[in-house]
This record gives sequence, structure tokens and C-alpha cells, in this order.
Amino acid sequence: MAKENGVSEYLLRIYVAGETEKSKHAVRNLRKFCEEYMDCKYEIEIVDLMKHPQLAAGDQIFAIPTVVRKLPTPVKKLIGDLSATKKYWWAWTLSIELIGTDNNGRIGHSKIWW
Amino acid sequence: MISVLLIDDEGDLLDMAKRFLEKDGDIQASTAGSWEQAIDLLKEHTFNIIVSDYTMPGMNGIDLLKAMRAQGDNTPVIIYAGQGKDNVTIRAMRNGADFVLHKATDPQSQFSDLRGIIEEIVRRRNAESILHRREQDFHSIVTKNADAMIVLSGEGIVRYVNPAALTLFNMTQENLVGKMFGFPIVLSEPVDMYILRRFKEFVAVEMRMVEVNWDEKPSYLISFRDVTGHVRFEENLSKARDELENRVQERTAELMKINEKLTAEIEAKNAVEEELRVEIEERSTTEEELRIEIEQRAKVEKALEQAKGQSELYLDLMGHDINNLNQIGIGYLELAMQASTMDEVKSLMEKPLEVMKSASDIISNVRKIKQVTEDIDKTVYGDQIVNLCEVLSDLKERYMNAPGRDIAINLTMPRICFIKANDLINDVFSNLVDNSIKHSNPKNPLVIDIKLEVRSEKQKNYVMCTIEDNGPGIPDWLKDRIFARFQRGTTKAHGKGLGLFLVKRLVQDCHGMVWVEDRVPGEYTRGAKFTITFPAVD
Repeated sequence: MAKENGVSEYLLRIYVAGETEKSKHAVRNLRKFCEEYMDCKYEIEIVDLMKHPQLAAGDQIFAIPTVVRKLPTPVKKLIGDLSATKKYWWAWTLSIELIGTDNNGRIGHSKIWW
Repeated sequence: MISVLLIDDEGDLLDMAKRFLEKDGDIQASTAGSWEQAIDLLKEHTFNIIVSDYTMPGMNGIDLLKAMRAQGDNTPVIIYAGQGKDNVTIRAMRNGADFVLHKATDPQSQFSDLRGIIEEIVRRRNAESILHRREQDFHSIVTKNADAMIVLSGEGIVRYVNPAALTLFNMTQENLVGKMFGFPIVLSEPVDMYILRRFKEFVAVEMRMVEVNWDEKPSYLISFRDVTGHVRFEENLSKARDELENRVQERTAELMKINEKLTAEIEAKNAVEEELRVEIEERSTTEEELRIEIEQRAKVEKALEQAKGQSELYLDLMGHDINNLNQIGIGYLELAMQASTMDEVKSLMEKPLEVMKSASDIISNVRKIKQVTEDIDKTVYGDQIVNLCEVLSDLKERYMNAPGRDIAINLTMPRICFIKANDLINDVFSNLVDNSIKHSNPKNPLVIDIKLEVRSEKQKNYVMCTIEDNGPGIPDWLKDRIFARFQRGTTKAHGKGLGLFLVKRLVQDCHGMVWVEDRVPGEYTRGAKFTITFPAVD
């Protein structure tokens, strides 16, 4: 697990499988996104389930890669394609910015609920 | 064709309604005059829609509706009620009526409305039915699909899991439904990822997603296809490719090494070939020079041969013709001397006689030299074994009693002493003794000591002969030159000029050496000492 920065509003945990190129790519993209949109108030934890398989059940991880937003609550999960495409980052950016103001809202035309 | 059941206890109204509805031919109306009759008909027939009067004896329209719905009959129902019966409308709608029509004063417009309402309700019901059937079909497709499928709510919570998904995740509906699976991000299908079977086992899958309405709620249907075999195949393929690549690289490296080695060998070979080429060129040049030299030598040899032929001709002329003339001259002079009585004349004649005899000796010596040379050419010279003791004894005999001279020859030698030589060896010693006599003062007694002995040096035996006299000796400056051709001594004695040259030549031809020293070292005037050595014959 790796932590970044001291004061965090967001705690994100990414679950990957092994130190493969795909895993590294997913982590790199998440980090890039956070650096770009989250104003340094974030913390990223990386969990390699190949090394720590016992951690899967705790967060109910059904698929890999999964990104779990532990904080702020409520807990949210994201699975699937974590490649750095504009649409994905844009959608996620919106969801992050709108947390706490419109938790039940349908966010733009990306249809992502966070 | 729409089938309609009309229920009313007023027979006239029933007939009018039936006629009116069937007027255009797309509605077929059946009639029941009482609720009992209606129930009997409903037992045997199904209708697209039922139109019932509210007020009937025994059971009103709403009760009939209730009974039907209680039986599970969902056939659309229109209740026909009188004016001002608002409470009927509410009750009818609550109990599942599709429409409540209030009776109007103008029956024609009323039936026209009824017709429109019937058509609308039936059309809507048909559409709903189709939709419902499709939804059922969709559920069936999802349920029976071989791919694992999960229906997620907008928040990523599991709403439905098909049996294939239960198998893939090795979980029950209860384990999965209601759990937060995660919001699916699918940008380009399929997404390669893993699922966790019972949170433990990794399974490689391809994920696809589609937005659907599930039980009338917007949802996400995600499907997973197990690609473990495919991934394994890809991994094996990749591994095989890597191995192949490695082997190719190794082989390439080996080939490069071999190539470098080969290049070095070729370069070395080229260098050797270049050296060889240069050597061949040099050799060719040398051969050419040699060829020219050989040609020149052949020319020189030819010239020499010609010169030799000429010299031999002259030598023959001199040796034969001149010698004959000389002998004739000598003969006449000796005759003249015998015939003359005059001492003065005799004395005068002795001189030319002596000169002519000397000339004869020179000629004789020249012929001997020629003979030696020819013998060497034929490599036969020195093949005879000569006893030197005999040679020296004869020599002593010959010179001891020279007329008018006091000569003592002392000979010291072993009994026998052999060397390789031929008859000409006599001339060597007679020349030396002759010289001693010739160059000494005739008025003084002459002593000649000849010593012969066999010596050994470096395990080789050789014969050494010394001839000493007490004559005038030989000055140092002349010692080296007396063996040269036509070199004469300092005395005025007559000589043949070839004597010592001939001596040296003969000795050398017998593989021997000759030199001269003072008899008393440092005092040449007290006589000369000649030393001759030959290889001894055992």
C-alpha cells in the first residue's frame, strides 16, 4: 500500500492483480487524474490482491481492477476500464466535485452516480 | 377484430349498442342481459374488453369487476354509470376498471365515444401485453445465457445474477444480490479484467456492458466471458515468442561472432596472400635477374672458352714448335762447342746455350702447369699414393754430386711416408733444391737440411717437410711474393720464373700448404727455410 500527501479529503483504494503492465497503467492513470483534479487533498492506497488475497473479502471486491472511494462516505466503487480517456476522467471529475452537494443526482450525460 | 362483451339488464339498450359498435365491421359484440348470463359467457369465451352497466339487479358492475379480478381475469373493463355517480367512478377505478363512462342524453355521441374508448384501451392493452412479453423474453434470454450476466443498479448494486454468473463467481443469489459490485466503466468493448471467484480465485474475463430497463428501472447489464483458456494460450504464445526471440538473438550473436572470426581469418589470409604475391613478384624479379646473369655468364663462359682455346693453341705452338726450334739451336750450339778449339769462343757460346736451356725449362714448366690444370678439371689428380721418402732419396742422389759445387744434403726422415699425389710431386722438391743451389754463392760450400716427419694435430695426421739452406736468404718484403707467377728473387741467377708458383700450385692441389721463413729467425741473410705440409695417408 502506498500513501500520498498528508491532509486528505479523499481516500481512494485501488485493487490490482500483480505487478503487471496493466496494473501499473491503471495506478498511473488514477494518480494522474488525482494530481490533475483533486488539488492534492487525496490519498491513494494500492492493494495487490496477488500478494494480499485476504483483503478482497473485506471490501467485497468482485472484479479487478476496482477503485473504492473509502472517503468521503458513502463508499463508492468503480470497476472496468481505467485507461486514461477524456470521457472517463471528465465523468469522474464531475462526480468527485459534486459529492456532498447532490449525492443522488444524475451527473450530466455521463450517467454516473457517485 | 375486437371482441366486446356488453352487459346490461335493459334489452333495448343492449341491441342498440351492439348494432352501433358492429356498424363498421371491426368490432364483434356479444350481449348478456344479466350478470349470471355474463359469468356463463366468460367461462366459455375470452373477450378483448367488457362493457358493463353499473346498475343491475342482484350484482352491480363493480361487484362483477371485483369477482373477475379475484378470478385473475385482467380483461379490460369499462363501467357504464349514470350521471352524478362520482363515487362510482372512484370505486370502479380503485377496483381495476379501465374507464368509467357516464350515460349521456345523446346515445349516438355516447356510443361514438364508447367506440373510441374501446379501441384506445384495447390498443394500449395490446401494447402492454407485447411489452410484457418482450420483457419476459429478455429475462429468459438473460437467465438462460451461457455468459455470466449481472444486472446492476445505477449505483453499481447487484439487482440480478443469472445462473452462469452464479457458477462463474461460485456464489448464491443471496451472496450477490444487493451487494455493491461497482459502477462499470466500459469505454471500448470488451474490457480485459479479472473477477474474483469467492474472493479468492482469479479468473480472466472480458467484460461488456449495456444500459437496459430491468423491471422498469434503468439498469446496467454487464456480461463476463471466461477467457482463462485464451489468456493461457496467449501467455504460452507470448512465452514461445519470447523463447523464439531469445533463440534468434542468441543465434544471431553466435553468427556475428562466427562472422567476425571469419572476417579476421579472411583478412589474415588476404594479408598472407598479399605477402605471397609480393614474394612471388620479388622472386620473379630475382629470377629475371638470375636469368640475365646466367645469360651473361654463358656469354662470358663462351668468351672464356674461346680465349682458352686460343691460349691453348698458343701454348701448343710454344710448347711444341718453339721447343723443337730451341732443341735444334741447343744441339747446334753443343756441336759448335765441341768442334771449337778456341776457349774464348767456347766461353762466349756457353751463355746462349744456358739461356736456351732456361727457355726450354720454362716451356717445360708451363706445360706441367697446363697438365695440372687439366688433371684438376678431370678430378684425377692426387689419386695416387706416393712414398715421399723415395722421392726425397732420389732427390738427394740427383743433386749431391753436382759438378763444380760443394753441396751437402742432409736427409732426416722416417722409413716410409705416404701422401696422396702423383709424379709431379718430384718437381716440388727439385724446384726448391734447385733454387737453393742456383741462388747460393758457388764459391761457398752449400748445406741443405731436409727433414720429414709425421705430426698429429687435432686428431689429424699430417706430413711436414722442411728444407733449410745456408744460402743468401730471402728478405721479408719478398717472402710473400716469391710464390707469385714470374716473380724472381734478388739474385742475378737465371731462373725460369715459374718455379715457386708451380711449387705452390702443386702443393695446394695435394691439399697441402707451403711457406718460407728465415732459417735463423730475424736474420734472413743466414739462409731460408721452406716448410711444406700434406695430409698424411694412414
